[in-house]
Amino acid sequence: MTASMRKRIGRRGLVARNWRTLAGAVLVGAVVLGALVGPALLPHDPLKTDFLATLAAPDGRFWLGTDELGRDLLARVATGARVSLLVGSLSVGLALLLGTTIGLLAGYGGPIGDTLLMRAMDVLFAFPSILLALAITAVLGPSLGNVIVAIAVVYTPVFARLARAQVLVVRELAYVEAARAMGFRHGQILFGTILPNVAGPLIVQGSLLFASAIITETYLSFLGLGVQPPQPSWGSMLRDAIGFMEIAPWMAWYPGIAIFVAVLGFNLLGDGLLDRFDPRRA
Amino acid sequence: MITRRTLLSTAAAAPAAGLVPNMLSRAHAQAQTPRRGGTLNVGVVSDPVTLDPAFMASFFEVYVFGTLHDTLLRITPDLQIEPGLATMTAVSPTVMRFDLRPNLKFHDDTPLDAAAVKWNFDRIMNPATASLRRADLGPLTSVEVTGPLQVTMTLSTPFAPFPHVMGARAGAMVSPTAAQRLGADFGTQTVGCGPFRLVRWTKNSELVLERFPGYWRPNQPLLDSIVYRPIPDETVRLTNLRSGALQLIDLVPPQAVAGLRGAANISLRERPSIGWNAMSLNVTRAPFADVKVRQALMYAVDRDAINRVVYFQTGTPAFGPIPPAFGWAHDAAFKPFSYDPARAQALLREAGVSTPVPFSITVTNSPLQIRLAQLIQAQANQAGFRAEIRQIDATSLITVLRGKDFDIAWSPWSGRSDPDGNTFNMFTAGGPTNFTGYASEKTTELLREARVSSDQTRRAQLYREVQQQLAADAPLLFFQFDSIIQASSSRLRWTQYPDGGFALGDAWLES
Repeated sequence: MTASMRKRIGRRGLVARNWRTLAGAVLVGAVVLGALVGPALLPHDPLKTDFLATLAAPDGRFWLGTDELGRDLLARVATGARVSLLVGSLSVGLALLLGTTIGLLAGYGGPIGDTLLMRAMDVLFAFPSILLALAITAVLGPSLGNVIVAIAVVYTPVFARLARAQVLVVRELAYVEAARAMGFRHGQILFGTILPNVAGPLIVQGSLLFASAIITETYLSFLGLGVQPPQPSWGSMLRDAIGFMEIAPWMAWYPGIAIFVAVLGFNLLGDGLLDRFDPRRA
Repeated sequence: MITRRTLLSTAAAAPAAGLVPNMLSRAHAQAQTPRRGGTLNVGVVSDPVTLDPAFMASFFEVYVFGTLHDTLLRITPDLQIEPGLATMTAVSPTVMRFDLRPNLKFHDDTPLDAAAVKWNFDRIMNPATASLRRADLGPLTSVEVTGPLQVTMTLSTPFAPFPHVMGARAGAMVSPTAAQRLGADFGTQTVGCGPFRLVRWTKNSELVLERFPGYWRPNQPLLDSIVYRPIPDETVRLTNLRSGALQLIDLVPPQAVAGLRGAANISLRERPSIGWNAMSLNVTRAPFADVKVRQALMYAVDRDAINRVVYFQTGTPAFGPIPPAFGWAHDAAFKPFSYDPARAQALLREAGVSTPVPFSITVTNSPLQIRLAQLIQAQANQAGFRAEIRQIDATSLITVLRGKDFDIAWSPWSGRSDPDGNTFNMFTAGGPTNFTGYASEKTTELLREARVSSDQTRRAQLYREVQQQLAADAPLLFFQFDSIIQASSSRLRWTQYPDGGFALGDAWLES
């Protein structure tokens, strides 16, 4: 950050934003760490049932208690983190890849291609995102892979619109004209010159959608359309917990807290990145 | 009538016994004066598919069957047969005479006489109607009007469950004039002769019945109206009962039972059901075409664990289709399988299949069934299988079962009041609810004999042999005899039935 930028934001605002970014990074780091090493370090297998220890309250043996089939909730929450991160990264990554490509082509190509591509994106946009994701998983059938595909399809138009809008601005700039004048091919201009200059906002958008993707996965798993039992996911753990809210409320607490922490973390981090990349706010 | 009779006897006996009022519980004191009026809101799992008894095939129709309809004979909660619309006299083992009560009417004022009864049976028996009741009637060959209020039915062979059939769907009488007038719409605008008549049915929202003033039982019905609300989620049903929005609910989640036993303002009712819980094994394809592999699965599953973990001890482990509610036919000592994973593995070795043996467990998307599937999966995987769970929506289940598109699948039976209804159609070759593809000459022979025998001791013996044969052939994994678990506002007085049905003619709300 330059001195002039610092001056513009003011010291207090910067500190507050850094604090939030840091908090986001810590929360996300905790989730990632839990997902990576948790299942290996923890004493219990997330799928191991113990029919003599069902609905056990948190104690020395099961730190977060057990579920209705006597499975360790801590191990399941940690394994659920893997599912959430996997879905978040793959679906957002896929949407980023598809959406950016479509947006670049639409923004850079002729009006016919632009109209065709963007109207197709508008069709996807017309549906509420959760409804579209539901419809896609319902058609494809319940599985983790299909959830990833569904979320990717839902988020593709977001990236396509954003990328196109950026391209429309950037393609008129002098350095693009210079590249054209130097005889670069379209592909080189598009991916070598334009893409690096529009990537910032796309990455910010990606980090914000990461949190939404996690939420969407929990919705779908909650409805039984996501990860199939006995594999745990936070959403399916919440669904299992509903019937036991009165006699074993801890079944709902921990996946609920995990969702809260992960979503808050990614949102704070995305906000921080927004500050870093958005020329109007930085 | 049981409740009313009990109530009346209590009322009569209390002063005679010299009981002082404060020794009577509040319930008994109140019970002396059944009160007219009020609306009962009932939370049920799902809408019925049809209101026409000729086509009822889903469990969810038991909720309206006893309120909208009435039957020639009545099955009491203790599975005894009583006169209903008519009194039955056995002229011979194959000729039954039914004498109707005088002045009976349908909800549309059409007289319920011998001609109307004959019309009902002609409708069911006519192959063009394609009624599901035709199979229920077994060897019935003719129904003749032998008096203004008398019909005589002739069977081709003796048929032991016949009185029970006349107390169930096939014995329900509907209005001939309304059925002819409404045609295909009769299923949603059915006109019967039960204690309540249909007002309106908004699918997936509410089904409203009102008091039928022309009902024949004295002092019935007591309620002004009944509103059924379909609420698939067990937790939501229970919450609505607690909040007072509903006064009666079906299928209380088993894990909530312990907490409700002492609850104020809510009265929990439990009663052993006449049905069974089981998974059907598809015997027409690998891996369960091999009886040794089927046997292995029987030993691989711990039924006590299922009853404890899935059903929270609300039922009893099952090994066959005859539940304890049938006192005379149930065999309490029948326990052909123990939980023995080593034995299961040995059986798989004998079968010569390569382990782990893969198979899928098909269940519908309900928490209880998913819990059950995961438990069976965990135990089967310990015993040489590799199970995966396939969740489908509840409406697809019947298609999957009929198409034999499964390895093992959730297929419980809500039960009939005679053991024949719990066995014949599922375990005879080609039976209408034989989803497994099981065909055993011996079983079919035993079941045929049990249907025609009039000697209850002999019948009990035959059903024991049927259970043994089923255990040997293992076409189904029986695991639990469940309980009917329902709950109501403690203000509601009502009679519970072992098939889970509601017949609320005698029900009333305390003020």
